[in-house]
Amino acid sequence: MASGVLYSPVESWLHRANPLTKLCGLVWIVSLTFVLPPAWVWGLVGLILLMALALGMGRAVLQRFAATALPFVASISIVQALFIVHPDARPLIGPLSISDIGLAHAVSIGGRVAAIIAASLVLVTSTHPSVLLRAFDAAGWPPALAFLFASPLLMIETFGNRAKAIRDAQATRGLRLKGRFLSRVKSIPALVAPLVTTALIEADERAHVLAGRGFRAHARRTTLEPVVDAPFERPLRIVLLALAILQIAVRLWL
Amino acid sequence: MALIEIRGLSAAFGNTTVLDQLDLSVEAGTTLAILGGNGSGKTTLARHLSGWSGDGDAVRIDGKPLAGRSIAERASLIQYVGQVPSRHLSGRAFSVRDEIAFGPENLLLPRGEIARRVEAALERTGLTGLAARDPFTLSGGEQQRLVLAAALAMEPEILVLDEPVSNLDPEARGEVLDILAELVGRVTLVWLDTSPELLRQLGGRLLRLEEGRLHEVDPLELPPKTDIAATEAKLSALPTFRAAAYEPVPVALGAAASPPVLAVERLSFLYAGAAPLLTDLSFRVGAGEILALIGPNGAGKSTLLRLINGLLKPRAGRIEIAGRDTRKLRVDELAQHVGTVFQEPEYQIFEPTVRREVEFGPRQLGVAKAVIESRRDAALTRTGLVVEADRHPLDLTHAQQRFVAIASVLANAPKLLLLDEAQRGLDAVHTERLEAILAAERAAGTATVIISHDLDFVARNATAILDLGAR
Repeated sequence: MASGVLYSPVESWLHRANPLTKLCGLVWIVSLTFVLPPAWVWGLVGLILLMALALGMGRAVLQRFAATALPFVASISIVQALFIVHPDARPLIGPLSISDIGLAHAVSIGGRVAAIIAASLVLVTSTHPSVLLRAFDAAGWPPALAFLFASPLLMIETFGNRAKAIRDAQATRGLRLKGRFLSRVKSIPALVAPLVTTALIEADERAHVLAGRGFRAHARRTTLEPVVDAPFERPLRIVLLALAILQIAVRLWL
Repeated sequence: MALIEIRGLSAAFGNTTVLDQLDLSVEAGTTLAILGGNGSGKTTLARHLSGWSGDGDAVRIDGKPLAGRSIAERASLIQYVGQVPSRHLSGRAFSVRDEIAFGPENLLLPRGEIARRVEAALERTGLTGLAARDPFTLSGGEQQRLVLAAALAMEPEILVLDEPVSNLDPEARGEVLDILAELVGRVTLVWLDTSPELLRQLGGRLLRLEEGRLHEVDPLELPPKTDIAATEAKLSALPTFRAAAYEPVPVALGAAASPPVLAVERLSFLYAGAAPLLTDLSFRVGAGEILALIGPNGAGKSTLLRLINGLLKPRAGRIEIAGRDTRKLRVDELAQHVGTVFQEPEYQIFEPTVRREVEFGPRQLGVAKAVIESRRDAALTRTGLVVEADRHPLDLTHAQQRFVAIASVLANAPKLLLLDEAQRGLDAVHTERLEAILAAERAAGTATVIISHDLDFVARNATAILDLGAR
């Protein structure tokens, strides 16, 4: 599996669901975080993580959640509570002050971001990218959109390997990669230029490869293995999107 | 009526004419072999013929200009298979099966038809067992079979093959050649290559691309076939040592070299989580000796090269270069003594001119300016790059880029030279140039270690062989 893929192969109803339905669910959750009170948003985060646990992908989701959401929540709390000067700020230690308004902001923003990260992680952990691409194709989405989504996931490992090969090649020519800051800065062109030029050469060649295989010959493409849509999924997607629009409207106008 | 009709095709890079009013006519079902040296314009011709370059006016397929055909029509008519398979993957498929289905899916073919084509292509290229694998995790040979499978799934009338096996090891090369041999007569094949040996294997009409035009070739004009018996006789005359991965081997290779340039003593190495790759390996390479590392893929040849130049450190044992322990020196410090030519020259090229690229190494090593200039000029002369000195290295042919990499290493004046498949993809002229450089380095007392799957090249140049494939 490509290293950029976070998919966790477990058998569950969520894994079997059409990725487009899951995407609609994500849109609904994102919009929901803007209308729920902060404490409820944190409750939503808990629910999403509990659902991941119940569906057998708890470890994968929780590890990634801890690595991505928690540092953000911690830093936003420190910045909002200690560094931004709010009207209710009271001295804490030295030049630092603490603010209840700041803490409330941190809880609110942090909760929204945590919910969005948790829901996104559940989506990518329960959906193999190839299934998402097939869902895009079956829905008649533009081929280029799906390509933009898939290509970085597949190329990231190749790109990393090439960066290492370039480092090795230049080091064996005498380029010092460690040591003083200045010598490291001086080494950057020798490392970056081959990476960029080879990427550009490949991009040009790949454009021809795609055209040669009929990519974008038509406005849409078909798929060998279409994603199965359960009978209730299409109406569910409509409901989720309608709710999301309603929630955004509530947030904007009420 | 001819299936392919090219009239007055010209192409140039800057002031250099590559194709000069070229004409070509090919009947359907023909196998056409086009022989040409490095930089003769083979790739340019292949790209024009496939609609990858030019406006397509000079190329007519089945009576209609390529320019007037839609993307879907072109894709169904012509498929192009190039030298570097990883660059010919779509970058959109997460499995071999998806990669093969990608083209037919773009053409909006019925699902039953796509499935039939995918299964047929998987079977024809022997990839059925790999259908679920990520294309980017396949070996080079497997990737080239996949590129062929993806092309065949388009059921094209014409298959353009631009040195399709030049970057493959002999085993993978044989597998691809077997697939292509089955296609003879079923598809119009246009194969462009530097190797008359390969072109001879498929038979068919033979042309030579020279000075921008195509010339008929009488098969009798071709150089005689490689004399396998003579190669084997030369190889058996060379001191050959075999090393097994799982047991210590009392290798006496180079024992007489005193003092050795390269001394490997009881070297063991394994990658984390993998089985031992090299076990208790000892050998020496003296001044003026050329040691060839041979063995199948995965035997540890490239790993041994990376241990010698310091990119990897031994798990046990030691490696000394000119008396210095590689474990105690950084890679850039070892560069004063060891020069490595890797397989991909484009991974090191970054300067705006060939001249500056060749100077880069000695500048890093703190060599005096006058010495740098003298070494640079000598290296450019020996590699035939004097007239290209002010050009951008990436504007050169792939063979010339390889010589830029070789010149860059020679300019460091190393005591030990490491070459990883440096002869791969070179035509006869460039191979001769490389062999002249090896001979001169040998005469000058440089120790050399080469990795090569080409046993003819090994037989002609090596003074000893270390076979890592004895398992």
